[in-house]
Amino acid sequence: MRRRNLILFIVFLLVALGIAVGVLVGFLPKTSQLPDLEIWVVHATEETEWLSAAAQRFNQEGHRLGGQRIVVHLEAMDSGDALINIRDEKFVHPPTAWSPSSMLWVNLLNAEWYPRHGTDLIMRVGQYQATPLVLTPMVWVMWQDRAEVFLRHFGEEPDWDTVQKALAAPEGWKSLGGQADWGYVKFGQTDPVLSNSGLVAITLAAYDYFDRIRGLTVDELMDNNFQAWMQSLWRGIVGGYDRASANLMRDMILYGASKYDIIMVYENLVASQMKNAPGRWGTSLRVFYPRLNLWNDHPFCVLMADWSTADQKDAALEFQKFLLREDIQRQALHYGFRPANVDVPVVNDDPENPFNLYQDQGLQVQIPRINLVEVPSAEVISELQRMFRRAQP
Amino acid sequence: MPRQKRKSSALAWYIAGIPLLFVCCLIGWAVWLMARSLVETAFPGETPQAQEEGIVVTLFYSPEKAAWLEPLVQEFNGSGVSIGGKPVQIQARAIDSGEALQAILEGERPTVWSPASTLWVPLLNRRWQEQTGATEPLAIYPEPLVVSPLVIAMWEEQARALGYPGRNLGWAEVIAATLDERGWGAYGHPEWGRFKLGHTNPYFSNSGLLSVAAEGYAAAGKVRDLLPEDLERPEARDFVQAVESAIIHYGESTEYFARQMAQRGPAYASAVVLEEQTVVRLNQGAYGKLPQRLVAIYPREGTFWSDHPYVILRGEWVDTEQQAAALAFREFLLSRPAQEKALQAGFRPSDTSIPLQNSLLGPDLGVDPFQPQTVLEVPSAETLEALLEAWQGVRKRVNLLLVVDISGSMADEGKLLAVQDGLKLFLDQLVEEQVRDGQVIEGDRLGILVFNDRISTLVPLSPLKPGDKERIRAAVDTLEADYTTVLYDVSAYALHQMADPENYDDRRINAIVLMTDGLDTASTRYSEHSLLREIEKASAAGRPVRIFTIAYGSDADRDLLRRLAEATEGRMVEGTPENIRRLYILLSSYF
Repeated sequence: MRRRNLILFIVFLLVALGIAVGVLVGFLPKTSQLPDLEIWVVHATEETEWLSAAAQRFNQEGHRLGGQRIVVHLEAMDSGDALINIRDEKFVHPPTAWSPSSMLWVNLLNAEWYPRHGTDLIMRVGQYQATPLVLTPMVWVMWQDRAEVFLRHFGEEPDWDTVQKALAAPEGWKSLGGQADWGYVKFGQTDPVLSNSGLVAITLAAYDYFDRIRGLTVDELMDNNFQAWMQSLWRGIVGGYDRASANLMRDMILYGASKYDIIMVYENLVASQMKNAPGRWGTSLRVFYPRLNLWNDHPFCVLMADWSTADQKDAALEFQKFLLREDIQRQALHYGFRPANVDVPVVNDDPENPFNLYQDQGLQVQIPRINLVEVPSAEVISELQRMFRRAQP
Repeated sequence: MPRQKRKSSALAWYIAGIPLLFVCCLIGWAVWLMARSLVETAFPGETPQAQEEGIVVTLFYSPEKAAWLEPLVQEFNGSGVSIGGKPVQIQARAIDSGEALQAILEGERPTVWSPASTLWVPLLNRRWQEQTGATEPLAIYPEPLVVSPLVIAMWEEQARALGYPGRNLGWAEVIAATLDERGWGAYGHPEWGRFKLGHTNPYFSNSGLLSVAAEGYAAAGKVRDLLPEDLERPEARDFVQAVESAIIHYGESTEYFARQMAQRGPAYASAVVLEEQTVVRLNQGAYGKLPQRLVAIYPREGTFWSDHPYVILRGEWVDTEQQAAALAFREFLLSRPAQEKALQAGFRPSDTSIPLQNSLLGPDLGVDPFQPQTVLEVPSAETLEALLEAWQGVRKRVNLLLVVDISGSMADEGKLLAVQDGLKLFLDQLVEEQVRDGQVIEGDRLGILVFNDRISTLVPLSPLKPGDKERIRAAVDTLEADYTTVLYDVSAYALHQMADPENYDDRRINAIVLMTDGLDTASTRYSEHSLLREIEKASAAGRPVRIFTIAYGSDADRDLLRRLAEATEGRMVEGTPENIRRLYILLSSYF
């Protein structure tokens, strides 16, 4: 009897010990596995759909650096906001890399960073240099019925000069031969202090006004006639300024011609959204290319900041390499971007490729009559932004 | 031998014990893994400690979104979403945009605000910064959840009499019809009586604020660049005053108007300014069967969009976890399934990949998804403030009797004290007579009756002169509760006073606000039956009086008070000492 008790006691003891050891093992950290190498990439809003799909795939493919699995986190942000947050180091997760909409912002950020730190935050040469990911030009977008009236009235495609005249028409669309209940001609662009497309729009407007493609100076921007001309453009904006280009394009389709008859925005956003217009308003969109243009090249910029480690910077380069891979660049076509990788043609046999689908509505593979303008100096860009701010009520 | 046996037995124990220990370790680990897996299945993504500390996101939203939002809040709360291992819970409250603005300024602390339109956001920021001295706005980055244009809802038969659908109608035509003394007679239908236009109170409701803005544009002859000085011109002021004087009574929300339209049909109003979504819901039968279809008129001069923004407030009471949780809920609301449900509720989804063509938003439900063609420019916060001020100056004046129960039961639980506060808040909403540029501008007329077993006049029905409000406040403070209740008698007495030709004023809203906390216990002259007959008599004599009733506390005769209100196109509300102040403010929105 005593022996049986002893056996039971020992069995009980062993089970208890086993559970204790098991629980301890459960709590033990898994030392055999290296932690993930996490990087944070802040990017322009119009890149969201393409980059989200790409990052998901990158993370699934399990790319490694020095044995560590690289994990990419994304955060979409207007270029202006991102610039301020990077400059002021105001992030929960400081970004390892930034992909603004264009090189304009590289100039602006470096101009703000250099006086404080004595060094550029974004490199122009070398291994870590800012590298274009995808390209997109600026386009005019109009509703088809409005475009027909506009073309009939002016006899030419819309550009800054004719758009300004249309905005100033005393009785709005009625003066141009359109319907009286279309109201005034309503123009849309994003806020140039916060958003790249708005900044590029006013830069192109300034070049167009002075009829040149380079050498814009701060002194020229002070010209009263030029300022009055710009203000007449902004007066045609009744719907307020969207902060982000993706929102501007969404709003054009969401509110239709009631809010925006014509906007200036990225070609890629129009290309990816054109399919939604008829379902919403029973009419389609029409695309026109301005006489002067600027490529928004969406550079991938590894930030040379001390808040990220050398491994994180190299991991960011791995992600950049991945984004330039042919299959990922082909994916960018679905979202209306033109690949930066020259080995990937804009037109292919993909039936979903908007460059195949919407040529009748003005989307062009070979952009007609294009003159590329020079990216202005940081001083000129800042002065254009100040001018805009002063003109707002 | 026995020693040897014991030795071999011990050895056997050692040999058997080691694998047993190993097996037990495995069992222990398995038990641990099972326990952990059970916890994770029951509470995905959380540890037992985290469950105790959930993240609560409070959401104030405009009531017309209730049919869409409420089921989604339940679905989200039941889906086990967590942030940092903590479960997220959304606590949603339907509250009119203007009332929510006021509540935030008075100290309520929601995480997220979704008013009916972005128009309210700069108003909140402006007042918040004025009140707190803050340099940063409280609300930024408004993102639309769903959208709906502001329309003029009309009965189809009457709209056709104005030329619909062939003629493009607008604010000008509707305002002209409202001001035309011949009423529907000018359009070949004298049997329809006057053209009655209605909109909600702009201090409370989005559609009311937008209606007044549209009137402001019409008065200034503009469709953009409306400035405060445009509204100060005498002709603009006269125009708005003429329109407002012809308007049927206001209300705190479009829900109220929608219910009245459904219940009373064309006799209630010819045209009401509403969101397109409410027209859809009305035609869907959400408020009861309609006598005929309503159609949405998209004003040709332009209109406004209600864009139902989702704004995460940047107050110090919103921590980073709540921000993340609020963002997760926003993402859920913008997901395709949630957006498709918005379409069922009559909204236009902000997801533009959801088509409206051939959707339920079509002529069958009285709307046209390809309208409107143009908008009025959204006025600045400064102009909106000027509009509200101008409206308060010219809105239809009221001829009003406040009837207050001071029977013995009102002394319980601080009931009378709360009513006294409510009365004073109500008084703040009324307008005294003013002199501007040598001209006398009429104010409201007010009287106060108090009753227990007797009826006494605290304030005789008369125009409010400068300084009167102060005197009335002091009189309200003297009230004391005692004795029994003569509810029928006081109601009839008040009705007779109002319907007396010397007091009745058909240029004003003639109304009684009756508050009582109990049953009739002491009336000697009137019963319910004879009281209702008196109401009918006043209407038949062309002097209808609206009675708004407050059933105060659990002992009030709700059924009687509801019948009284319904018989006079008024409204019954239920009050407690906690909400009575708010109820008096709410009732002031009808005047």
